[in-house]
Amino acid sequence: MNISSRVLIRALRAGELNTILWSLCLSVAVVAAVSIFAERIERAIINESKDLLGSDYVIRSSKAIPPQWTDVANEMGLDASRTASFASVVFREERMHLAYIKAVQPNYPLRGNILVSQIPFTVDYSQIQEIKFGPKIGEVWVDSRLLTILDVNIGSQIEIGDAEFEVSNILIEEPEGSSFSILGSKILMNFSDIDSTKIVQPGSRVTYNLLVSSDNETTVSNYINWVSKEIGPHDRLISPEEAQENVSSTIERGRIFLLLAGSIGVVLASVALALASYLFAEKQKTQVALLKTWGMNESQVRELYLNQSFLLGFMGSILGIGLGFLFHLILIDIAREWLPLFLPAPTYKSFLIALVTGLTCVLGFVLPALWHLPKQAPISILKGNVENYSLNSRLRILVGLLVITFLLTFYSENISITIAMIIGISLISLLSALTGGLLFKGASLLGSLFGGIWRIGLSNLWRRRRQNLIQLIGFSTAIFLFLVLAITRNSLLDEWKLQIDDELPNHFLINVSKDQVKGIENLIKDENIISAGWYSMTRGRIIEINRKIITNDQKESHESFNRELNLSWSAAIPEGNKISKGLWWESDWQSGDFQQKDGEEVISPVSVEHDLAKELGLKLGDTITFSIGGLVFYSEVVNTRILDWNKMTPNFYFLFPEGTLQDYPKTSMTSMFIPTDEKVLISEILQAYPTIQIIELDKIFDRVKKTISQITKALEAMTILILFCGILVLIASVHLSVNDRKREAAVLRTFGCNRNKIILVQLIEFVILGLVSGFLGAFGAEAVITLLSLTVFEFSLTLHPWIWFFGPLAGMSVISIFGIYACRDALSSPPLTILRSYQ
Amino acid sequence: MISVSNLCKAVPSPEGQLNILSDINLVLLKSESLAIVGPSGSGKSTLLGILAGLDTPTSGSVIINDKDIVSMTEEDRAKHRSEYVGFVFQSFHLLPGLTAIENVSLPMELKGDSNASCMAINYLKMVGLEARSLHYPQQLSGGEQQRVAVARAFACKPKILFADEPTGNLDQQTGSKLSNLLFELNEREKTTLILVTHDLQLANKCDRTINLRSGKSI
Repeated sequence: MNISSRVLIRALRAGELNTILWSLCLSVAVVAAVSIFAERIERAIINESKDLLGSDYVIRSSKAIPPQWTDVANEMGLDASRTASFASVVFREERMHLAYIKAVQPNYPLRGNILVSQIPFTVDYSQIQEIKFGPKIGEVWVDSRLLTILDVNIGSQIEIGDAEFEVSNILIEEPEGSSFSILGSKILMNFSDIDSTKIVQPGSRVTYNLLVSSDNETTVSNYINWVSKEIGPHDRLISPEEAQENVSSTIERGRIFLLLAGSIGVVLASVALALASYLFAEKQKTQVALLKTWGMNESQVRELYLNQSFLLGFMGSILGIGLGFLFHLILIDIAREWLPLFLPAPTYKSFLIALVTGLTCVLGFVLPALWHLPKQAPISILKGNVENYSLNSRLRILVGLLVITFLLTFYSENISITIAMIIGISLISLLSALTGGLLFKGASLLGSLFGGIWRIGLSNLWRRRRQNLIQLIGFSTAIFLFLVLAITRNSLLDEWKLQIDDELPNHFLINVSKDQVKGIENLIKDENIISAGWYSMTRGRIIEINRKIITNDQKESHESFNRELNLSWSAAIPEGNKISKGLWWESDWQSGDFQQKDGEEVISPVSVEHDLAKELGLKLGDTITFSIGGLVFYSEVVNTRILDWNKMTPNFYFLFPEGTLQDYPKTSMTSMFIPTDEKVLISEILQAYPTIQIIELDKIFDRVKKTISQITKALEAMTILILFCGILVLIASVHLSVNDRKREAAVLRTFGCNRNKIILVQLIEFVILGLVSGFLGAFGAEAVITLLSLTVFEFSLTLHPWIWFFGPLAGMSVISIFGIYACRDALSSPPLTILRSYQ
Repeated sequence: MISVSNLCKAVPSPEGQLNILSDINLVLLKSESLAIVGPSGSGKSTLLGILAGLDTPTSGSVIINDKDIVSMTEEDRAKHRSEYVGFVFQSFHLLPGLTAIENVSLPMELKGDSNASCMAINYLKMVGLEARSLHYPQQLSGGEQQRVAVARAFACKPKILFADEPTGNLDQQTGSKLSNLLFELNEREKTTLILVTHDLQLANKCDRTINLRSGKSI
């Protein structure tokens, strides 16, 4: 074993490096835990998304997929499968229905399963079968309600175009379902049967998909790189991430919180490390002078400390990775219920991130603290006063900030979090320096007005101003970061609480005619279910924008130009909607108020959903021409609205003033909460009213609820880990001045000062430092939360009065408790022992 | 042999140059012992520091084994200290995190001596602390700590041992025992001993004495 390792092991054994090692360890552990956890979850979610997508990637096109794309995929060793979706009327004797047909190749799906049953409308899982291939030639699998609509059974024949097919299965669910329209009965048929139907002709509206997958990720990414260069404006590449849009925002926000928490952990541990290294360097000055009297020169001493630091870095990183791995297992255990059964193993990437973090921490915080140590003159040991050679403190703060910036960017890959954190830390440091200078001087002057204990306590703030300033920065940074975490956590939980409301509507009934409403109301009333109210709407198609006919290019660019849209009306802004541009119309606006424009035409105002307006390129003042039941209807965009989707009440992309659409054919819609055990109600409604459409969101909601509740638990576990990091900073900060405090206490005791008075002297300092740190921390937290709300989380901007109370109170209590605890020796050991040990 | 000629040390002060040492001359033969005595502030420790190569004078020379350590670079002086010099300090300066044996063996380990532990235990035996070899400094009395420091100094087999008030922190009886031990080992190891002391009994044990007053030898 070389001398550096031996010296390091002895220093570790003596406990001289405890705080450094723990800070390093925690810093690496936080990064490792979050990275491994996030990586495994992300990979698992991607796998799950692939099942939902039916493949690793889908290339979707409005034109037939070039055969070359399939050939290249096969040549590269990928599995490829083609599908085609189109709408067509299906017949059975006199009955007919506009159905959405999807033709699939025999190897469909490449990932995941198709769920089928022999029993229509079944909700019993034992009746549902999972299969990995599509229908045979000449067979079709159909939605339950098609049996009612066409009055057919399993084994019956139905006509699609020129061909007849046998209904062989009830289709419950298939991968890539979201790409399949929800507005008609679904039919799955064999790809080879398309030709015999003679439906798909040049110019037919068909959506072609090419599904590709491989177990070799590199092969997939090589193919995606190749095909990305080939795809044109009519084609779209769909990644697995896009398949899970419903929970992706929850997971993404949870992931950002974990990253934020991890970043806070890294910063806290870095501050602890910087403080501990500073303290270690202070203690090493005598040892360095001694080493030099024994003949070691500056470069040998430096080498010794460099070797020690990097050995320590490796040791701390390895321990940290181990600890982080254990912690990630705890996180997984907490979230087990929500996680997929199979979690892919983490790759080397997460471990590498953690190791780089450990070594960077050594470079950025340990080495700058030790850098000037070898300059210690050996003569100082004879003079009894070690010299204060140390890297300029401003330079050290700058190096520290640069390293924290690097770590945050490297780790979170989120520039907004990095910038917000750096601004926060700089602000806190600057304010601490300004406040500290004034406070310590003021306290010293105030102390001179008092006598006895108060004078000692207050003037100590000035006497130990250097240590106190560093402590103030450490304390306020810890409080600030923890408050940021607490506020973010609370805001996220509040937001999520809305989404996991048990009574949130989970089924939408649309296309209900006026005379069906009463019957449906009666049906649901029998089951004690209440609808969220009926909304009337009419269906129309956009045919012109600014009097220019919608071009083919426009039709290919956005789905809304291809189908009928739901149009509704309202006198007032619907609850939860927010105007983003323009003004809402007056509540007493009447259809007679139509402005006359362009001669005889009547133009109604229209309110358009904010994002859709953007996607369609609509601005205020633009005119939209709708075709409603063959009649032309003109409108002008007067405002755009941001909708609140969290409430799950019906929302409309296009709203008109009340009465505007009264002369057009109307249908109604509603939403309601149907519990799982009463799902049979859906079959009853569909059997009674087969023409209405029901959108079932309960499975998606259950998944969202589960995701939220488990992410919440993971988030709490992470908060506890960060709390440890914060405590470590407090301990490191308190230890900066603990020797000096112990010596002072011992001197006071030799003069006969009693225990309570000594505690009071220490308390005066700790309480003042804690209070001021709390205020500074609260200030920093408000500033950073404002930045994060604007950039990362999109929370509404609001002040948090509780932190102005909680921050100083917690700062004062925790710092005082830790401080007094750290100095407890001085209160119980004989004063001479204390004085001797610090000689 | 140590030969000091016209040694002066001055430092700047608000009132101008302050002479700490003025025109010190002395010669010390191998294995001889020298006591530097004088009141506080007379320049004893400064002289010791310069002779040990820990500090540099303003002018003059310190020839040790035909080499002027004053004109050496700091690197060479460090090498010189490593080869020739051992120290005993008034405040012992044992490393608190190391046991007695580790404190003694550390300087040897730093020099790459593979036999450091054996040597250390031998020297602890010589100072009568073999049984306390695994004790930490805080578990030892002041006298015992200084004995460990003496063992540490001799274990490196220095040609010259510098001791800065070695009994200064000890009571009279312990100090006396310590000084006996110091001279006993000095005799055995044939080391040149230079010490700074207020203790006249200790000074009297030395072959020669230099008495300083305001930086001048009297």
